[in-house]
Amino acid sequence: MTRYIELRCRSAFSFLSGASDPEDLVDAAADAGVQAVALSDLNGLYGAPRFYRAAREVGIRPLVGAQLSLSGGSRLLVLVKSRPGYKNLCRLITRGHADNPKGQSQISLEAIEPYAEGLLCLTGGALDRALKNGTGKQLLEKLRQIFGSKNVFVEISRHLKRRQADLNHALTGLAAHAGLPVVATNDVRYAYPRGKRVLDVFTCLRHKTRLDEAGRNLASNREQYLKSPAQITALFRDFPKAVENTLRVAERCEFTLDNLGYQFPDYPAPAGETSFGYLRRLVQRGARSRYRPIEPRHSAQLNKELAIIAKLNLSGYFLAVWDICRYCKERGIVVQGRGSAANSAVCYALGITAVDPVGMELLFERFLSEQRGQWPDIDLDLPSGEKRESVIQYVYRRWGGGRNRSEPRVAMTANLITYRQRSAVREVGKVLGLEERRLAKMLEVSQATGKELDEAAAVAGLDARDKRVQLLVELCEDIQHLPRHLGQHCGGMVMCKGRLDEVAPLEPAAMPGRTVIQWDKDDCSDLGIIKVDLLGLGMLKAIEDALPLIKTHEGVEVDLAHLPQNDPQVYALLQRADTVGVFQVESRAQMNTLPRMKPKNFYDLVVEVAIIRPGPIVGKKVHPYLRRRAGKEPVTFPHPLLEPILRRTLGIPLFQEQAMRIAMEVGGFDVGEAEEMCRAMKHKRSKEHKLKQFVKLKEGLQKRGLQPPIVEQIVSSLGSFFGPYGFPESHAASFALIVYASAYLKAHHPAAFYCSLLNAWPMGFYHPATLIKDAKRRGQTIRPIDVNHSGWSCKIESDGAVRLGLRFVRGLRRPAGMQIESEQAEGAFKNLLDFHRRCDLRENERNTLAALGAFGKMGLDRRAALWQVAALESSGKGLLERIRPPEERCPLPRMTAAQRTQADYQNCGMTTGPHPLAHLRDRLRTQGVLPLASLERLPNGRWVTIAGVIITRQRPGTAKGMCFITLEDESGLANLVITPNIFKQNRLLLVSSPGLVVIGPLERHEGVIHVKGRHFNPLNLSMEPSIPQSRDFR
Amino acid sequence: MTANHEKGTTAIETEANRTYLRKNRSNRIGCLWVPDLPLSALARIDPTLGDRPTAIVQEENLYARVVVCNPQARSAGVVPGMTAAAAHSLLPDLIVRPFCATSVRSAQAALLDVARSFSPRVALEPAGEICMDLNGLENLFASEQKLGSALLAKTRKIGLDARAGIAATKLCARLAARTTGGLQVVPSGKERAFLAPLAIDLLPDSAKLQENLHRFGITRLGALADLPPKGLSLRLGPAGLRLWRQARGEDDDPLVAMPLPKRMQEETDCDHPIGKMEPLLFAVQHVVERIFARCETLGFSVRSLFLSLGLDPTGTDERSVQSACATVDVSSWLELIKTSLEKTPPRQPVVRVGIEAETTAVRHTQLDLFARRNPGRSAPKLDDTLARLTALAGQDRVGTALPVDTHLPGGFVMAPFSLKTSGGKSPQQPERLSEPPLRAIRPALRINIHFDKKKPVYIQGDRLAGRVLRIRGPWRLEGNWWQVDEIDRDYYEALLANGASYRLYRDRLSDQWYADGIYG
Repeated sequence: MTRYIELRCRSAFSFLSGASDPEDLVDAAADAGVQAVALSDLNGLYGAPRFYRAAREVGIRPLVGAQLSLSGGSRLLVLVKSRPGYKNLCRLITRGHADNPKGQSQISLEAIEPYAEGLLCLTGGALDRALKNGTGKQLLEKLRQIFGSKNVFVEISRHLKRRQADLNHALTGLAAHAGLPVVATNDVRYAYPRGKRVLDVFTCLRHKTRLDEAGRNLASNREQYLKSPAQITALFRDFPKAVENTLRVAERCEFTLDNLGYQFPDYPAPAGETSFGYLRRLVQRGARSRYRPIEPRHSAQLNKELAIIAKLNLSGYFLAVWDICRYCKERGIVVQGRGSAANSAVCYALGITAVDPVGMELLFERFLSEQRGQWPDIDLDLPSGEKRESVIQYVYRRWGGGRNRSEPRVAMTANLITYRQRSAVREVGKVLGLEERRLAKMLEVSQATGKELDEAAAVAGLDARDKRVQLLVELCEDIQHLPRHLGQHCGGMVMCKGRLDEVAPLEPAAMPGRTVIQWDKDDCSDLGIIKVDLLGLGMLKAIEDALPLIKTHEGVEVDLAHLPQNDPQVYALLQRADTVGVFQVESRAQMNTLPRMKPKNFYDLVVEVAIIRPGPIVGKKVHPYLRRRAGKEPVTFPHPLLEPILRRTLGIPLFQEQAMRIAMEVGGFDVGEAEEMCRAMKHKRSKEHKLKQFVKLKEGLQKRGLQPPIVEQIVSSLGSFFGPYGFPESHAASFALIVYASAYLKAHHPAAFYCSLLNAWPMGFYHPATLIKDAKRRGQTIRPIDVNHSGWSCKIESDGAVRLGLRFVRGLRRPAGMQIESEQAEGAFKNLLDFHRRCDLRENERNTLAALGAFGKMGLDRRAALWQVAALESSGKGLLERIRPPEERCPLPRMTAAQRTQADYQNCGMTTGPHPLAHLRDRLRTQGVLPLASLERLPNGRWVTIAGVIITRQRPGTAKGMCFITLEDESGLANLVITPNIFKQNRLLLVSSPGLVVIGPLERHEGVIHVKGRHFNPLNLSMEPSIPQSRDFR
Repeated sequence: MTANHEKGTTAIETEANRTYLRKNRSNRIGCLWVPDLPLSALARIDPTLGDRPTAIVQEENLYARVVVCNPQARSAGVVPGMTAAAAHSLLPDLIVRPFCATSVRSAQAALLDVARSFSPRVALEPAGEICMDLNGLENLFASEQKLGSALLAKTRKIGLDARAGIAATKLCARLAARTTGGLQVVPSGKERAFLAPLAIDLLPDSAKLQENLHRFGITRLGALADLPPKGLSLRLGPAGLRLWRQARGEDDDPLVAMPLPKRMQEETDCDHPIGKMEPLLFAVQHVVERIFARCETLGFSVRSLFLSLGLDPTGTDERSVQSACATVDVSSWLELIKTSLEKTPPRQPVVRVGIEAETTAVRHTQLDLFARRNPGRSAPKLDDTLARLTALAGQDRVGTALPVDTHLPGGFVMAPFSLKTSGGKSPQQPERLSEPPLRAIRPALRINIHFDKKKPVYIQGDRLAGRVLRIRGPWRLEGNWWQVDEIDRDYYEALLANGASYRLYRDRLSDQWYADGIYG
């Protein structure tokens, strides 16, 4: 029988003060035969959900507690007895973090007093410190007042340290004097003794030192692991009561995270109506507008979904999301549900999503089911920037708990940042005192070649026999996936019916006015806390901005919900990969696939979006699919039973829903099991769990009569590529809608498309310089910046040309740009002096505008404007203006065409004039360099010499060291493919030169053209520093 | 341009010209400049570099960038600004050395010596050139060409490949040196013509103005000189006008002669390689005496000496000799140097002895009738003694023992001995326990322990033995797991029947017992 319960236990969620995952602690507890363990991390319940989940699986009772940092610097351990105690602990932790810098917490004993109900107190470090200061008795008395005599335990620990004997003697004496019970703990910091090394590394990181210099900051031995009751009993053989008392404490801690008391807020339905009735009414009304006419299959699906929603009491949740969408639509903010919500007809009818799941035959169970055991998760895409922030603030206002948010009911979810290989090598290496240069090289080698760290270390010049190098490799493995720090999820919000800080601890976020719950989205989901993701999407902002422009300048009202379907111009554009600026399909890989894929309908776009992903690429699904699509390979199915599931993707499994269907319809899984399998496949950590699921699937498939080789083929096919990168069909469908919408705008309303795209930048794949060149190649006029015509943002002029906005002028402050725009409304600037008088600009801002030719319409060439602007500085404003010297003839030489291009790049990063290479063309021609556009006319295999500015460099992990570079010249773009060996030989040039002259054979394959780079020379561009940064290795 | 404006311009130009000509009628300034000075300075110290491709980086780290490289490296594509890693990838044999300020200072000091050997008025310009007043030398040299050649010949002798310029103004002389492969003499009155084709980037200390001029499209000094001064003055202010005048060759920036240096440098080449201590000390003594003679003339005292011994056939032995207080006592310094050389003799025969002395003004202090005699007055003797002790016992065994921040009992490090007292508690003062003092047994005594039912009953060692009356422990010490000498010990305190209390430990890695301290 267990005679000991560990009551003080820190996990790695104590951030650099604990060295083991909660799951590892649970494993250790199971190994040690401990029946209950209290996880008591520092100032938080960060690891509690994972600890709870893991403990429940192995039958260990997870007690809840935390160590609170007190104002004096000591720490007090409190354990939760009951639900009120849990509420109080959450509020105490929240209060400790409030008004403190991020990651720090502090609370006074006086502040604890009102929240002591339902909590047990273990004196720990607080009393140790007080004893040293000679105030032990006073502290003990104070704690007794706060928590009550029955709830205070004097804590003793034994870690085979010399001073502990004296300390424990003093502590037990004090306890006896105060009549308080003594309790033994091991103050666990790691699951197994080996964890001490990780803790030492973390300690060094916390103290910003190296192991050699850490001294007594490191613990003197590795005794703070999770010990078995037998070990503890032996250790405290002279204090058996202290060990027995741990059981008493644990018995009194009845609370677990089973029921947090969380409730999603009710939606205030109209008088006389229930929230479900209101939801049903809204769904019916929405369905009438969405489905014209409503067919029986639509009604059946809606009724089925509504029944489940009613049964799970989720009406309030759907109404809340609908309310957010309503808010957006009323304010003209484009909003669209993505992810698994697109599987729901109710969401479609409510206007939350834009994909018809019935028409698309999407799997509702992927979103919601009775057996799923998880709350539905609705992600909303919003235009990035201010509008998304306004929606977040609306949610705070609507559900946030009053004007001053004294009762917090809304918070953002956390985002857990864990150690990855790069951060692990860098930080562990630093702590071990290894050379930074070698570590960087080691990482570089490992990432470039996929070699294991120990091999990479040898290549980097580190002696693999050196103990520290061996430790580096081991420790990096040990700390990977351990928590590093907590961030804020970009858009996940949780709402609560009552006080959210009584459900989970909250922390202030770095952004003012925001609070973050201490759990990430998975933890929230596991504990039944519903979240809504409000995600920002640059393309939605661009589309949203484009619609009014089209209406104003073309007189056309584009309704995104009713775009013409199967528009031939859109598909023609996509088929020729003319997709610079188009959502999701503008990357180089997508552009290479489009001419082979030749999308003809919406579902092709869904596949296109999903297929160029790490999962299908690593799973080698791309080429078989394209071959089958081109009729070069027969469409076959592993088994006839799979045909209905895989028919649409030509026998190749591409989507998570297909995996679920295979499991459900062939493998005999129920919805919950299928969902569990999908989750296991997505989860990076639980390899064992994943294997269990596959074994179960294999058994299910075999029961259905499938032969073992076929079963193996199916399971490996699912397992090899889904991983964490599996893509849901519904999500792909939602994205495909945006692909279609952006392609439609590019095909039919290019002015508005480019204008809004430029205004939404930074976003997407390409620099505005590339977007402008793309626009010009398509015949769209883009005009340069002019102080009499340009506003802060780009705009469309009366003749349909796009005028670049002042926002692209380097160094121009927004208020200054806005002032220029507002002054334009008062009348055009007559001359430079008039401009100077009306606009309060800084010297550098005026100089930049002059160098850009923004005063050109005043009859001033760029140099003349610069000459005059310089004179303005000395003449000043106001009184001095009157004594300004008369204007003189400009003695400066005029800029050449090349200098104008250079000035454009220097001062706004792009040019509406000739491409930089246009100035070099004569020289390049004499060197036999071909314009990039001419490659289309050349045969396969012809050796060519081309040159261009590098706009993208990519070396994806899935490409086995191949490097892909996109070049741009005045005629177009060209793709380079560079093999690993050639990349290695020319690495420096390829990664550092802004432009290249390349020699190599041209390869033409199914409409895709690229040049296999064999020889490279730097392209001598006189304006190198001004060329925009290429998009490298992202 | 209006007539008035033109008139105004002419008036300014004429007045400026008159002033300038009045000031510079017979002025001649010489300039010495060593291109890629950090590299040349390094090559001067380390002749082994020879013609091998070499680059200098600001400091040695991963992101170090090449500051300067020699032509051999440049021909392989190495350029300043490139990372050292990138340079290595282009040229695996590239020698990369960190920037050595000492060598640069030493080279500059040598150049200054050369300049001083021609003119008493010399100045080190911020950009590294050395300018000198050449007025009055016309009677010593047949022409300025010959004067310049003599200057260059002398710089070559000190191992530097310099460029020389001679002109009527400091700026012209500097630019003449910077734009030639050897010597360039700008005749009086031809300054503007000489400057016209030069890039404005060559003008010193005017980055902001140059930026403005570049924006104006002005890249050559001739174009700058052609701008209307009034308009330029309006836009670029007095600094712009000064630049304009400089571009026209009108520079009245005076040569501000440098005071004598704080560091003295002397060196001597040996007639033949010296492999024995006595003749080496003899050679060193000569150099030291020369330095101290200079110091004494200037009223300087020496704080430290830096010895640079050129070795045969290649290499350098560098060492510094410090004194606790500055002194000009030659015999004390020679004793310190002798001790240093005897402790670690040069690994090869010496062919060159170079010594640089860090000097300081001699301090005169009023003696106090009642105060104790300042121990600093005997510093030379103390230094001598410490140096001798260090030579005998080793560097790590002489000094002041300080406790280190470690769990390991008795851990300490040796810090250099200093006359200064810290005055206060050491930051790592061990905690005072209410227990008898512990005397450490160094090295720890290996002992045997006899057990009875796992309980220690008897201890037996070389110098201790006895029946165990009481034993406390264990206190476990595990550490240094990242080092080769990992520690894993269980410590105990044992009271023996003879009344002695020992601190014992069991090395858990070797399962051996030791006694490392006795209480009381």
